[in-house]
Amino acid sequence: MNLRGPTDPGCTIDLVLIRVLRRRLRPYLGLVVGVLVLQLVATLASLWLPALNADIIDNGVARGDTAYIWRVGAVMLAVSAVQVVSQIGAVWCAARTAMGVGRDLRAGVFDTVLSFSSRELGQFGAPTLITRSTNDVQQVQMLTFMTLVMLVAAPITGVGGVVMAIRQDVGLSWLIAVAVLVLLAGMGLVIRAMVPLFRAQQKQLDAVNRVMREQIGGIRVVRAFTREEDEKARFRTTNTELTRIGLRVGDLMALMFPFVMLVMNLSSVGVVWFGAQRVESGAMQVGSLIAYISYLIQILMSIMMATMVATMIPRASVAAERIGEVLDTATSVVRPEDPATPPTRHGTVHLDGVSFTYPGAEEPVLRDVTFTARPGTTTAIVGGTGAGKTTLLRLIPRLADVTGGAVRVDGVDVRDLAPHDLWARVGLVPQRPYLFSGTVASNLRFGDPDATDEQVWEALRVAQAADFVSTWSDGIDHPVAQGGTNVSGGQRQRLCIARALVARPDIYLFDDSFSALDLSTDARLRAALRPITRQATVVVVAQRISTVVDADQIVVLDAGRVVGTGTHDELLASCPTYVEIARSQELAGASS
Amino acid sequence: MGAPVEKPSDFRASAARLARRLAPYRLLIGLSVVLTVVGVVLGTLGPRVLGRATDLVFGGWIGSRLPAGASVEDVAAGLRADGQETYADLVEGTPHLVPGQGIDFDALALVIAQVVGLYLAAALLTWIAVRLVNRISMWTVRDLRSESEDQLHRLPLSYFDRQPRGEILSRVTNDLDNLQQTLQQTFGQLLSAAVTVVAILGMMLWISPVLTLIALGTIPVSVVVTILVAKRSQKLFKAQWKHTGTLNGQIEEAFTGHELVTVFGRREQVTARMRATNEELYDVTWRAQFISGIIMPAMFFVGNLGYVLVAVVGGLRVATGTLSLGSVQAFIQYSRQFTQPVTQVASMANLLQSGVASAERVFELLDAPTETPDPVDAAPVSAPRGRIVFEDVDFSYGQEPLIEGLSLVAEPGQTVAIVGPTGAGKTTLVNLVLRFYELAGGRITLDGRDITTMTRHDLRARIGWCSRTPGSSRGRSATTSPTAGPGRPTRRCRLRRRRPTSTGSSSTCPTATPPSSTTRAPRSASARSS
Repeated sequence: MNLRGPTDPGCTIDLVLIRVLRRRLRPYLGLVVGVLVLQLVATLASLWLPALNADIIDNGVARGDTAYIWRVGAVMLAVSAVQVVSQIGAVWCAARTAMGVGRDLRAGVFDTVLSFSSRELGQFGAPTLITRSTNDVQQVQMLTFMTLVMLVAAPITGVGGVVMAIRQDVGLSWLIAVAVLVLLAGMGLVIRAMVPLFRAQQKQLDAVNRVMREQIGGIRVVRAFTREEDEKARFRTTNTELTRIGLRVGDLMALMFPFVMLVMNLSSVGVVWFGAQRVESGAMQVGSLIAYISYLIQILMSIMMATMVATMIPRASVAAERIGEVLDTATSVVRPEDPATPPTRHGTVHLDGVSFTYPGAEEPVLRDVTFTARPGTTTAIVGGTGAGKTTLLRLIPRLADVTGGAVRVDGVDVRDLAPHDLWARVGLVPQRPYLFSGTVASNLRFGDPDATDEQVWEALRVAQAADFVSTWSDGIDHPVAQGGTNVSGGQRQRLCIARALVARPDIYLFDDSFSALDLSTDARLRAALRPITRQATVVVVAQRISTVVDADQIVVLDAGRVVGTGTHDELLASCPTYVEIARSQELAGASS
Repeated sequence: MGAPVEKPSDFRASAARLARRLAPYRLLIGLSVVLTVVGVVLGTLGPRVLGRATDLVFGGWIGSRLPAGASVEDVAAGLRADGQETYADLVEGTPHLVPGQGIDFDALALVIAQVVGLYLAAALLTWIAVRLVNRISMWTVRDLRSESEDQLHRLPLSYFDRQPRGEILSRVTNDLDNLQQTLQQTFGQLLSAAVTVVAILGMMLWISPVLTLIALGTIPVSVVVTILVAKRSQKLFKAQWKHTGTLNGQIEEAFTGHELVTVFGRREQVTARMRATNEELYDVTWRAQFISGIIMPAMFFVGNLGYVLVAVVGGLRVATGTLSLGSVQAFIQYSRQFTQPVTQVASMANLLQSGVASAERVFELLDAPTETPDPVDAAPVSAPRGRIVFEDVDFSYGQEPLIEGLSLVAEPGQTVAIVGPTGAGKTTLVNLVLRFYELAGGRITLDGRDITTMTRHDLRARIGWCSRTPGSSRGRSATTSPTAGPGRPTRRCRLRRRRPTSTGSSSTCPTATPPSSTTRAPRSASARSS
């Protein structure tokens, strides 16, 4: 039931909902048919009951035939039993179908997101993708369930009720039409007024949350600058507004229940009044009159239920649209059909005129970047924030694909390599150190599930993490919380480095991985890394010049362009950007 | 729906306290109670009066088939003579029956007008009552919300170190939201459901005690059905919430660590794990929905059971003339309305528990010990110069002492830099000057006066402070401002940094503006590691 006009953009959203559901419901066709059949049986049974009751009154009560009353009573009980059994069957089918659709959607979104490159991931952002695969799917799932349980029965009850009522008496059918129209119009008006209010309420609730979040987060700032009174005033405004909108929503809701009751009660009264005249004229029997009231109430109830479910549609439509967006997005990193195998396996990385533009962005993040990182050497990438350092690093393991030029590993374009082949060569330490829930060992074995305890400890020693891990009584079996929030930032960073070491890749990518370490730990770690990475290609993104002074090659990026390549000493002599960075840090370092 | 019910640890005390919170609105509450009771009673009278209309119709219908002129007794006697014993009873027992006469439309119109009036009045009163309940619950929650907000500004900073931000936030938002819904629903529905049950019971007894007994016989059945189903479904719902939590965690982890999952070639394993949890979730979810979905048809069946019994027994009684048709019709209507409020009251118990649990969590926040109050008779600071002295200061965030016996003097005009490794307590010193935390020993003086003898506002208005922002560990220092007068304090915030690094990690310096989401207050390293 769409209560909006045809020009409303909401209609197209509803189409998305239908499209998503139609595809997802296909595997459950049998169950859906089951729901329909069982609902039909259940509804017909419940529609038959008032007719039987009328029969009792007209042919049993009015004639004083007690045996007849008992007989029809038994039939009524049997009909009730059929009704309850088929209804329960329908709920069973509906539950399996709706929850199955939810499960499939969740799996579908999950698979699609995992296939994304960091380009698509960045386009959506991880938080919304999480909401889409959890809350949004739940919305669609619940709507499907409610539709199958309640909405499907509504038109059957409506049509069946009208047919049965007319069978009792044709002359009163105009009463049904009037009651239905009044109910529909009234509920339609209330719901139409409610939808924008619901939206406003959600927004205001978000606003209250935001103000609170900011105040708790910035509590020191608030106190240091004695802003308490201003903050309270700011909160008061949002709180008052939230209460005001809440009241308006509540008042509309308050209208709903009495209105529905009134329509039902008054139509029963109408049946008695107008029915009485038909009884008087002999066109109708008294039992029919009572059955008529039952039918009218059943019809109105089914309309009310349908409307209630219909109010869920706009929210679920938005959810379906958000899910559809994810499912319709194809990854930009496509597996090669016929993967090439590089002739050698050393780990040489060659960037050849690479440029990269984020989708929708006007300016490229990287322009015409060319350099080669050879095995046994360390290449450092330096440059200001937004210079494109992290983006550049991501191109090597194909977390994103270049938009111009090529990245080659051992002479083969990474786009022609089998993804697993490529990833087996690369070890990554991300900018934001992230650990998975589990233990230290399970995290370190991420890249190599078969690594021995000895190998794990060795990696920890190199990463300068062995000392703190050994202080834990459970050592490498120490539990790690999701995201690694139960260890400090510096510890997390060192564990992430150790994780990359366990995999023993040909190419190490360190994305600003030493920033949380103090200078002496940083130096010790780099010294310990040297023998491990003697055969490997190392690419390091760094903020601190002290981290890169002994690199074999330093690439200086500025606004996505290479402005200098060489060793520390060469660059000091030739590259003004590098000199500027070095000098500022030297001075800042001296004063701290 | 289906959220695990969190039980309040002391239901009685918290509920009583919540009730006290409603006291300011006792007039409105009283009014809404009166309106609800009157509204429900009027609405419940409706079917009874409508039954009289049916009687008029039925009496007229039977009467029109009987010979005119004869009295009811004559007709009945005639029927008995014919051997139509039951029919004779019916004729005798039917009200408004005049042999040979049809429906008395004047009387009918009067009854119909009464019913319409009853229903209109009931709807109007219910509508007003619900509006009142809305106001009571929303205003109560608004007050609690604003009190929580005030409390946030009174709590010591150590409270924020201990409680995760999301946890505090959840009390002020989710819990208050839940409380509001509980208040609105329990108030509005609990009362009207309870009154409805009593009113309907009264009506049913009035019409026929025997039929009432039959109708009540189905109630234990429906209660047992509800309890059985609820027990099973509650277990399943709990499992559903648990699996949902696990799955959400897995999804969050996989998406946040997306590039690691990709580069370390773990997609298959991660997908397999998600698939397994997803399957388990599907299994408990459909079961939970199915089991809880049974309640409605089952109740419907029990209702039908009662309906059939009442129709049969009622029919028999009408036939024997002991009850009028209109009464049976009204009775059927009552018995159909009866089960619904009973189950409603039962389900309110769950809701009420979760609402009181939420209220308790809000009360906990409101009861958390606040900062030591400012001295009442604190003299305003006169002629401030900005000389800060730490005298033998001891301090700890928790058990481990962090600062012991520290003494330090910062003279006006001086710039004092504090250096040391992480966790040495550099930021803490600044926090102590601002009196974010209380000392364990010693004292800090500003221009010779113990800072605990000033109001916090007075103290902080004299200090310019530059917060540590994430990503920048260099260049923070607090500069006392000797130029600040007692009227409008000048706030200065100078960055002790000779040259900005071109790596772009510049530290931002909040001026006296409301905090934005980008300004995060630093947490001391030692507080974090505890």
